[in-house]
Amino acid sequence: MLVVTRKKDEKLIIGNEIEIQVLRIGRDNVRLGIKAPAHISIYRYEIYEAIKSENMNAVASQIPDKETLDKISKSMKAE
Amino acid sequence: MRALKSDDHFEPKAKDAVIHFAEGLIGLAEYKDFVLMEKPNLTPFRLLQCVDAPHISFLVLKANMVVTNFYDYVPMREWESMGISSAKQLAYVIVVIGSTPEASSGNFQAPLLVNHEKMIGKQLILTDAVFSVHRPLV
Repeated sequence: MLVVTRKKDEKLIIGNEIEIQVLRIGRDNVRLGIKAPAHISIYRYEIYEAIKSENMNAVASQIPDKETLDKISKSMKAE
Repeated sequence: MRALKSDDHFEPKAKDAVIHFAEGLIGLAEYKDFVLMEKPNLTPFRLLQCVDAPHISFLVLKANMVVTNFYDYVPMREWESMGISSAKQLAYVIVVIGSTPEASSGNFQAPLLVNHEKMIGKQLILTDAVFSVHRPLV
């Protein structure tokens, strides 16, 4: 891991397009500003991990039986 | 209730057009090409099947079949980044079937946007947290 020390208002650049700026330094947190192209997704790590875990869980999901399917279908709204 | 078996994953046919997810799904970046298959015994669900890996498939559902105005919760810039006009909005949610219909849920926090003209897709995370990853279907 690359470790860099930055002061308030200083920036990093990653590649040619992604800028990260230290906006505020608090007692036990920092506020960062990120500039990146629209196609780059930026998420808090723990949210990303939660969705990843849901995706993994869904891969192993089950095919519903007819009764379950009928009941779910009935509750669906028409498009 | 039964587990997915190999015969549930029928071979993608030539006519099944491939949807390309440039970033893959979240946490599954290595799988990028999927077909969206319909089967009579799965309606209203569809099977999003990875072309390159038979064991990677998801049951999905059009998001607006459960939450009528769901598309309004997806930020406009997300639709625009996918080249989807407001008239062509389309998103699916990944579904997990539980032991009862009431225990079955959809991941409405991380929908899949699909542009059916360009045949591209993207999973995004709605960070305003209106929806749960386990929103009940019924």
